[in-house]
Amino acid sequence: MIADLQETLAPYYAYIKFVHLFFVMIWLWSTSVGFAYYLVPVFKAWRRNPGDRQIVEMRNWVIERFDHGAIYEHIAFPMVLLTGPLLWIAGGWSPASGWLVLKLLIVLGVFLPIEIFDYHLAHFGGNKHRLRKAGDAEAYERAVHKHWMFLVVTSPPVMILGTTVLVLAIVKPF
Amino acid sequence: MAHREFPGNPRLYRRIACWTTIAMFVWLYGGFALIQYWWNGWTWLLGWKPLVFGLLFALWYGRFAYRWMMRLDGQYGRGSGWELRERTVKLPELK
Repeated sequence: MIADLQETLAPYYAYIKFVHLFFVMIWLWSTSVGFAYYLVPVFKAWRRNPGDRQIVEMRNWVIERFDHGAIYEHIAFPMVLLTGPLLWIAGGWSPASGWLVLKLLIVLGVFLPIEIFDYHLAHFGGNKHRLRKAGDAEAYERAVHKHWMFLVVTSPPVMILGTTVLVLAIVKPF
Repeated sequence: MAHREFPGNPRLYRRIACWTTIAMFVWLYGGFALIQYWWNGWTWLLGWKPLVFGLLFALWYGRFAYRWMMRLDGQYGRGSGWELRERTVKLPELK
């Protein structure tokens, strides 16, 4: 069955690769400017002035916009996960390709758990807009804290391993 | 507005950097070595050079992760490059 699929998909390898890379670029970069130039300055101001009501208002607005903006990333990620295996089959790659094995370990072992939690924080139980509409101030504040802690802790691996995944996929060093 | 203290502090970030580095190293290096050995019979990842490189990278990464978290959470510096200005604004919000 895999052989049949490979035969069918192989002529379209470049097209599948284009779709894959298109969504990889969106997934990697779509939140970067909003994070670096809007979220971070406001959250740093909040961390240095935690009791300032006006900074807290700004903080809340910024994180709700960030939740909303994560839609691009969260549509792109499933597309990356869908087209990745298609590329694997179409290209006839195997675990003999060391670069692919390491890339999959990073994507499945690091990025996938991060993204699952990110979906929760941005769109489901942790969505700040929904919590504000529900009028639960305690839950709202907890959700903001949880989201900021998540962003602080996941920034280092996302930056380093995101770059590593690109190097592995493009350079294919081993 | 409910007020609660954010739990981020240097000790917590040091522990997070340490444990995430160890976990990532075990998963990525160990997982990669295991798959390469099991699938291809390759043992090159168990040689001293790749291991030393991997450990040095892990040490660098652990320090980088700690310092990055500290800087991101405003634990370093006092934000002297910025000033807070009071504004009256209207902000668009989802209905």
